[in-house]
Amino acid sequence: MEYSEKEILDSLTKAVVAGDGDACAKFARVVLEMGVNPYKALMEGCARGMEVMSERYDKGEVFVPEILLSADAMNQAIEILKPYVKVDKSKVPGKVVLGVVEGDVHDIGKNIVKILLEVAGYTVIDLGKDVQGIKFVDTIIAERPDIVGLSALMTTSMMGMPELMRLFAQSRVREGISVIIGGGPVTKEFAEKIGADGYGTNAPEAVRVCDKIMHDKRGAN
Amino acid sequence: MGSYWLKEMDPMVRFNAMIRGEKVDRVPVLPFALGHCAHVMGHPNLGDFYSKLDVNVKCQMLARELYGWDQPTMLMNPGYYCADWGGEIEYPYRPTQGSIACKRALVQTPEDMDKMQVPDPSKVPSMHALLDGLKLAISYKQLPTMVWIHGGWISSTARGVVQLDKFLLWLYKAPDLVNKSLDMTMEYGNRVMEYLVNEVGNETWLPFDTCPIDSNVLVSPEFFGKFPLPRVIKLHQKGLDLGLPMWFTHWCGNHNPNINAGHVDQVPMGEPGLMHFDDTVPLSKSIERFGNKNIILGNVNTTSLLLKPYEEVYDLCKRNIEMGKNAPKGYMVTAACELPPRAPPMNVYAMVKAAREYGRY
Repeated sequence: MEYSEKEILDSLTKAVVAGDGDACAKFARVVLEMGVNPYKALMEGCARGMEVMSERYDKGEVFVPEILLSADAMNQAIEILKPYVKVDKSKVPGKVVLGVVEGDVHDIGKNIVKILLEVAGYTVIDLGKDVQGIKFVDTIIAERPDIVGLSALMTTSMMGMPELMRLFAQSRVREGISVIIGGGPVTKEFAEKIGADGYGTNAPEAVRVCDKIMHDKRGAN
Repeated sequence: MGSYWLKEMDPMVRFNAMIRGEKVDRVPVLPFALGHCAHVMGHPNLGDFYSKLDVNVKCQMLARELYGWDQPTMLMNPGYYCADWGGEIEYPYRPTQGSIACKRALVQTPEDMDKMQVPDPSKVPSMHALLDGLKLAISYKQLPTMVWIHGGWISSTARGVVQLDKFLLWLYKAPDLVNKSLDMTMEYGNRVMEYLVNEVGNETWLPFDTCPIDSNVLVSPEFFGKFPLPRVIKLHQKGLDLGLPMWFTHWCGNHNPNINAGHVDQVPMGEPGLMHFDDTVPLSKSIERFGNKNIILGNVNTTSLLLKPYEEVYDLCKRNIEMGKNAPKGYMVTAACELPPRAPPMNVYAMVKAAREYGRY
């Protein structure tokens, strides 16, 4: 069956929104058969679907299982397309290091942020949960990210965030990176108090905060 | 000001009077304090508090005496309903940790479900420790002691028994596994209650539970109604059928859509129950919707308790008390979620002081 490029991209979007992994795989194969640019298929087909899900999540129309289901479906397309994708580095919006701070094992929020950042084109280095300060510092030195995202659900681990900010300053890795924070007990006021550069109440907002940081950074250069 | 409060009711007398529907002198204070009790006792971390229930009971008793609050001793299961099933936990011996952590759930794959067998509480070491802690609290006349009973919720199944992200995907991809695992944790909750009732009777303790992962931050009200709700109804009814007086349920996270869908009304709480929403649910809404059948608890913002100046916290407590004190079945001023372990003691005292100043009947 013949499809136009637009039909293929729309079908990928719909398949991701529906969380239909089989359809994602099917149209990923069609992408290759019809000679559509695989990078374009990922960004304007699959990622568009995740953007729709992100908007719905933001409005309270869908919840975490639906986001995970869509991401799971999208991964089936990515597996097929990835070997053929040539990434245009000028189009990568930025590099982000993410982690749940030490003492905290609640990572579902961080995982959703990671999914949404990746589909927005960011390179994400996920340090996981219960991450010690020194691991953040070592990763910042090795990877030179644009943004470091810290997450905490417990008030005890949230209080590790100002300590991390001090550690970043003492280790001289703070310059050139923006630090954003989020998680259940975290507030905008707290973010400002500890000198963070951004704060998001939920995952879609975290992406918007990163976009703004990168927009300002690019504008400054 | 002054020392008039020295003539107040004894905290445990006040708490018991309220749950029996008798007259109390003022709004009780139930700060939902766990780790904070260890902190004010000078423990450098919460490891011993959560792993050794004799330490736990002692910290809670003395913290109550220090502050003059009305919270009965609240006992957590040192196996965290994770090690009980064969999962791996870590006690919070590092200062940044706020509670026990589930390091690895038993079930990571669908195939692992075959490993899942409902434990016999009488053979689970953490249950022996819980029972010893309960007996100790009873020996100190800590009546009723609140005991964490967990089963049938997504919160009591995902993370502790089944890996969380897998479980959330299975809601769509493998609902049979979801149903099976929820049934099994509900059954364990039932067995734990039977075990404790057989050992110490049903008049010395009451069950409490919490449900953050069942909130509508994570799952839709449709899924809540379809999956955990039928089990939670059965679990709560089982507790009441065993003669336990009531449930204290902390509806952690945003449960507004679950409330609006009529799900929360269906959960048997006892008459009255102890109904505690976090501050995403306005106190006025809790009272209007549930206050005719339940004692309402709430709702002092936890981040404020941790970070705001004393005067601001005191004013926040005052506003909560003035809104809640005339709830039909009674009201207790409470932190919106667990009291932050490192909350400044003066901010915690603000709850007690505001109850004395503005909560008198």
